[in-house]
Amino acid sequence: MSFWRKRKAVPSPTAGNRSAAGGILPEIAVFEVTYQCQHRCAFCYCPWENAPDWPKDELPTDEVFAALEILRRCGVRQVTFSGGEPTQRPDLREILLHARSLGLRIGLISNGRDLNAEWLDFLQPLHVLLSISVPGIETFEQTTGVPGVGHVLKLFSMAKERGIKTSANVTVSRTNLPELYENIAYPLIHGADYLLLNRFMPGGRGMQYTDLLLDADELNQMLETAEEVLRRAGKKGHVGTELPYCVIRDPKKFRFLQISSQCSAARYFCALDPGGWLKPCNHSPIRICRFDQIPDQIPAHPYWKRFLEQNYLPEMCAGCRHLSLCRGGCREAAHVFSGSLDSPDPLLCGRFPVDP
Amino acid sequence: MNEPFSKLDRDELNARLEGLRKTERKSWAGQFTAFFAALGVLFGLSGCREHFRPTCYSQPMTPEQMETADAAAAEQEKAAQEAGNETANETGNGTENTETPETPTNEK
Ligand code: SF4
Ligand code: SF4
Repeated sequence: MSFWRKRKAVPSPTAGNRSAAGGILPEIAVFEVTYQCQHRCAFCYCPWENAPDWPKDELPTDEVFAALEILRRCGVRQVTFSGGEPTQRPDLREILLHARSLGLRIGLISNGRDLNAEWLDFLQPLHVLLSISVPGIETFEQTTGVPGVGHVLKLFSMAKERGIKTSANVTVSRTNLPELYENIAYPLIHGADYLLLNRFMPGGRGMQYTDLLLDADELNQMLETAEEVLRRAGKKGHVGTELPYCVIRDPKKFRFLQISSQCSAARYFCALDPGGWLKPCNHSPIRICRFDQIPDQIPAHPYWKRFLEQNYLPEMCAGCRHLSLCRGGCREAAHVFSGSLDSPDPLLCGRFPVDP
Repeated sequence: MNEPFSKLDRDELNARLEGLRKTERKSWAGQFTAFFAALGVLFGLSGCREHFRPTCYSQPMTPEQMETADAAAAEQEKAAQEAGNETANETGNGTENTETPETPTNEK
């Protein structure tokens, strides 16, 4: 019996794991440092990809530094840089060096297109954990709009040679589901250390492709396939976007793939967009406040507090026997898809067969 | 950008995957439970792993965290050996990964 199984799963009704440093933000932040990207992924959730009027207010270098300092002061200890595609920022190296000088742990999420041996040599001494998106093998170009899966696979090998830990980010839609076994296996055999598995979520550019969303059966197929590949390889992974517990056919069978049903936005991590605006989650359509207003505004901000207090349960979930484990799946996906934070998770929105 | 890579059939892929398991059974990737257990103790969490999932596109572990995980796993393995038990890693079965409602007292 594992350590965890002896313990009770009792969610805190109010605040989650606030920073160990006692700050007002959680310990982990995703910093989307740019709007730019060379790929055209069908699953891209970035809200600006679906909003032509979104201000292109990307922070200049000095303000990125200032934002990192404020995050640090507010309790953040790990920053994962993403975008857009973070390597599209010409000053990314300076930004990473500055983050490291502040004592922050660093993650980098990239589509890999512009990464090469020189980049990896730069990242290695910074102990960056590198996540590379690989949303298909044969279907890579269909999903991303550009060819190049061979380059991405080679990056995993090159990173391994340098001792850089990598995670393969596989977002699953109806496009790559039929080749999911290969989609997970190839990065692993090329050297990926870990799997970050995400269901395609509505949002951003993805709103144009909602026919590619998985239904409940397909979602279970995704989970079972991932578990099988991970088990064979003796590797681990987790599902990055929380799932409604009642959709998972047999939760007990997953030993290599970790699945969560509790939204962790604002409680365990938060996001900053390219304009320096804080959001509870990178999937959030709502900007809360700019980074320099965080200390004043966050403690009493009503939207932020809803996440801290988990005050967003869909009506359909009231009285559910799984409430100690589940808070209705992804809240921001529900928000984006159906218009309010307490809507059912998109997986439970009528067109999907479920048996809660 | 169109770098070639070897295409493998399912049997060849499986052989390569199983090769990974043999060579990396004791690597960091197999140490997550120990890591989360250690963190749970460290932060005094209630024990629900769902509450300790860095999520979405954030990373599961940094190299420093992996070192902690390795140390915790080594301790765990030592303790298990002393108790005369095989650890889950040694059996190659991994460890339980999902907080399931196997704790029926938590269910309503
Ligand atoms: S809380 Fe809602 S989504 Fe979660 S298991 Fe219950 S009914 Fe399903
Ligand atoms: S809003 Fe959704 S993706 Fe974001 S932390 Fe919550 S459940 Fe996860």
